[in-house]
Amino acid sequence: MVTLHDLVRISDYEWEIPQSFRADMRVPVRLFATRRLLEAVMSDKSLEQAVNAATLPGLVGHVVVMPDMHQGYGFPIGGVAATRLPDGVISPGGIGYDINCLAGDSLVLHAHGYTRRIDEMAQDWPEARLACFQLASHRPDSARPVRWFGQPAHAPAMRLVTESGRTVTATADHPFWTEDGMQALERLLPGERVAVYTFDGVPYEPPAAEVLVSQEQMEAYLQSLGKGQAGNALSQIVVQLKRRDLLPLRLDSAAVPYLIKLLGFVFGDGSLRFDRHTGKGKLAFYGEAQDMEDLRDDIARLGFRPSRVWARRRSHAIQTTYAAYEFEHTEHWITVNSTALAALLSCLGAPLGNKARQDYGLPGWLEAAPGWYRRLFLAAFFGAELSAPQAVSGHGCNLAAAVLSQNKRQGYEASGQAFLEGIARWLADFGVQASPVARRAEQTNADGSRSIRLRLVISAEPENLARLWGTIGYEYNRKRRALAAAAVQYLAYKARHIAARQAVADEAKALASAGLPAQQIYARLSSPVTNRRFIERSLYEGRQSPPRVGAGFIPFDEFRVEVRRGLGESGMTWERIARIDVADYSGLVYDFTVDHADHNFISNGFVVSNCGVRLLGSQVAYEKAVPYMDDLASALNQHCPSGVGEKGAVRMSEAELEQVCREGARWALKQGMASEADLRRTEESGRVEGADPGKVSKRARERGRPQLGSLGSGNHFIEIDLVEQIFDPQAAACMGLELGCLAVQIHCGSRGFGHQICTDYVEEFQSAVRRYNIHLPDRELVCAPLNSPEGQNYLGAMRCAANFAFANRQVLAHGARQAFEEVLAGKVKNWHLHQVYDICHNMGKIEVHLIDGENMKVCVHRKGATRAFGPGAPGLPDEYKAIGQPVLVPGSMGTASWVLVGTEASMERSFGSSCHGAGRVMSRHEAKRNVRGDQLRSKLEADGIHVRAGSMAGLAEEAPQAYKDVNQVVEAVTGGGIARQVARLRPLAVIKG
Amino acid sequence: MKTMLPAGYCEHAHTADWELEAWAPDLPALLETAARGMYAISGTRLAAGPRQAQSLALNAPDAESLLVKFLGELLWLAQQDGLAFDTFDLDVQTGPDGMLALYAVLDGAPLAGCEKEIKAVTYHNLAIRSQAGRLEVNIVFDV
Repeated sequence: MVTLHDLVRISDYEWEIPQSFRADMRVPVRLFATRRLLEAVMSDKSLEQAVNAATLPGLVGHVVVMPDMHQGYGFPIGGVAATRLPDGVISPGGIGYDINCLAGDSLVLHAHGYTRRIDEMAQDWPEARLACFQLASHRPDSARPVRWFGQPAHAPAMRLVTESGRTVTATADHPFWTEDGMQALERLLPGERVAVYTFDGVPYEPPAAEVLVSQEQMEAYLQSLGKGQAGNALSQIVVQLKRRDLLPLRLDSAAVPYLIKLLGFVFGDGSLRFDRHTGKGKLAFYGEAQDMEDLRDDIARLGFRPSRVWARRRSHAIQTTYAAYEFEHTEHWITVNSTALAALLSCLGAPLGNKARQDYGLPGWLEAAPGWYRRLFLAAFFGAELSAPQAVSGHGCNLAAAVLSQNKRQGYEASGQAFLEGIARWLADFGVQASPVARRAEQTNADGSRSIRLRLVISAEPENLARLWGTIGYEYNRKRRALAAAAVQYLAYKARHIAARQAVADEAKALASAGLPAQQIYARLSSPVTNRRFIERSLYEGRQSPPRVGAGFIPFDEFRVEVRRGLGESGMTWERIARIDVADYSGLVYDFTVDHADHNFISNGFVVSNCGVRLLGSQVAYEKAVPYMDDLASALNQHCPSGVGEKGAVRMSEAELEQVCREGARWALKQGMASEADLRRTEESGRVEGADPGKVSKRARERGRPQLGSLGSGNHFIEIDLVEQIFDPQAAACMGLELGCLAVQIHCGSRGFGHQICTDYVEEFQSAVRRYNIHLPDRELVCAPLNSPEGQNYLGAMRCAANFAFANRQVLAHGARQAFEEVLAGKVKNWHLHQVYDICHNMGKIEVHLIDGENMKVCVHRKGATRAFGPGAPGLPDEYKAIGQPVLVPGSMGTASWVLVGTEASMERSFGSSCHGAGRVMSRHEAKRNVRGDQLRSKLEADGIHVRAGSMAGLAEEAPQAYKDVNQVVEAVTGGGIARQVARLRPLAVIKG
Repeated sequence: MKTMLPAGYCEHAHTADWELEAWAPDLPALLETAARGMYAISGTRLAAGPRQAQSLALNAPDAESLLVKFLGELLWLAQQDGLAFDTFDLDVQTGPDGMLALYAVLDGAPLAGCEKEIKAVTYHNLAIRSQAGRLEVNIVFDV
């Protein structure tokens, strides 16, 4: 139970429930409220619900609660929460999206390129950093596990085998990444393609718990560099390293893998020096922009601050033995001004200064280190220096040998040769063979010295290349890593092709030996991989070596495009499923849940699908309209059907409903019920992308088809208002709100269509939470990972409901315009209603927000909260870019409503959100007990408000005393800086169902 | 004050929605009582017209899900077919896989009217409790 004492005051209008309030909270809760509203909110469970919501996985920032908050049925009304978009984890053999319900011998790939059996990670999984991908941006990434499970299988075990023989055993509900998004294993079929990661890495060995660099060693090294001669440089360096837990440096420190990667890259495209005047250490790294960003991330992980990525376009002219080359190239680089880091890396073996003009060798301490440490060094060095996977010219089906080159000035070539021979020796430890180092004299330089080119050629034998790229690979070079992934798959594909041809050749000879005539052999053995000529040659010419690929075999350059289609440079490739069998597996199955690069969840309990408010403005002066107000109320009541079970103004076929689902308010435009200006002044332009009518149940469609153009009941209403006061004349003028003129509010949503979609997916997600091992304090908060099949299905369906609601409000607006025309045409000069804005206040949206200094794509859930983007924010129509997005805050029946605008502060503090109304303080039950609907109507009419209500009980439930003071709510959001006042409206007529 | 009748329901205060408490000696009776309570608080009235019977067969992994499904089915029949029921014959079986199966024969009539639309039956804090020899549950309806 949250009390006032649990709240931490941030400002007069902003309060926090800290994350420490409850152990299972993942983020804190921030509330916007006046002191008076805070005391009122203690009477219901809205803050408890906010705390419950703060336990959902994948949340970022904080849960925000608006001053109109009240208890909901899971998530509080007035609540906003954002979940990070999803990432996944690599499964063994690279198949799949998440480590989830796998057999115990499944190998898990870690971010540092080693693999471990999942069943061996019971003790030390918290320290692991697992390889994964950002599915939306096709970026490789890494993540920490937050849970590890070993448990009896809860679903049948199945075995998936790809055409290359990659195998994984998993439970039937394990999701895999396919061309149709995430799909459970049980739904996959042979022939379909799944995303695989062909990089296998190397086995894990635990590093020894010994000191690699002690303080004494570092001090001695610094002395040898002359650092201890004057001033306090030596002690400063030691302090800096100690502060970052880098001194003493232990071999099993989590920092060592990152240091090894930097070391490897420095040996290639990096430089390290101490400024000869200041003595300060400087590092520079060169490469592609995205690789420099990866370097920056690792440098930051060590606690140092790299520069931004610099870029420069340069012209190059190179004279070689064969020819002169001229070309232009954009260079990218980063620098790190850190004497401490420079000292540590050089102490670990990095060469200082010009590498071509000095002797150096491989870091000796890596000889005895775990194999995956040497793999990291090699991969980072190769990211800088090793040639990219490519086809040999000609038919394009043979891959070229990988080449490592180094230039040394004459006199230093012996150490260069020793260095490359050391590389070859380390490669041999991983089964990768290279030829002896070759030397060649190159150009004579300006100073008269000769350059010597040293080359290490890694054998082009296909299995050798597959081992090179599949176990060593590249670090800090995404392009080459992605090429390597495709190359490994190509080599496997080619090997199967050749093996199939060899099998045909063997079969042909066997059949000939058995006496079968040649013609029959040709007929029997013709296949996609062979032809008659091939069989003839096998029979008559004999083969001394394995056959080559057939004439039509796909070249590598075509293959790599095809298998990476839609996967960018993620390093993943598509591969066909060969078969799926029921696995005879009775062991435990294992499960990770990863944090940060986590499952991200869209929670059905948050979202009711685009209930919202539309405001229409006019130039109809109040004095002119007063005589007709009762007629206007009646006309609105007639043109905008309302009430329990009331059908809408539009009758739709099944096909038309699907169009509404896809097109939203744009559908109404095509029917002549909207203008382009209406759409421009609607959130999302009246249409959310990605709606999928195929994910909507038959029952939801049956409910939705008759209801387009209906208001519904409950707290939905249409209201004619007077623009009573203007606080920001410029903003009001932009919106077309004129003092003393009429405005119309329409509050409704997606009707039974949206409710049924919600009901359907709440039920479906009940099993999803079990599948994904999510534990919730409230079953109504059920959720599923955003990129799971369930999550994607719900998103597709929810967007249909959102578009239905946009279309619904548009049709009702058309009805309102018809009502105004019917009553006022010929009686007032300009009776037209123009759109001010249409906003949603129950929706989940994918947006980019700045969180902890990082621009992050998140799913923002707003339940009884409104988007309130500030000036200049994306998605605003041009006319509102300068002032910010209109925010519509209807008050309770009979009280004021407000028009606000969003601010820049709302983007920082509330995920660009604000309140949506007054918020209830009294239960419906109590309101019905204390208020008589007919008396309320009489009172409202006595106050000059015309009322049309379908149900007196419903009217009583909506009595003004059941709601908070909307002026207090507005004070809290404007005082809190997340919105600004524009105008206040007074009700003149209310239509309720 | 809640009486100690074997089965019954009452409405509780909930800020924005409706909350119903129901109690009954066993699960089939609890389902029936919850249904009657849902009709009562929504002001559902049956017409005097021709009686109609309806059979339902529903499955769910647990009792709470079965309750939500059953009440949701009644809402659907009211909203789509305009039917409501005042006579219930319910039987709940447990399958070998632990799934609950409800077999219902319902008798009712067309709707004469309904004061307030229930949008959905929610799972909010839904937990069937066994107390003093009977089952109790609190259900929140989205309205």
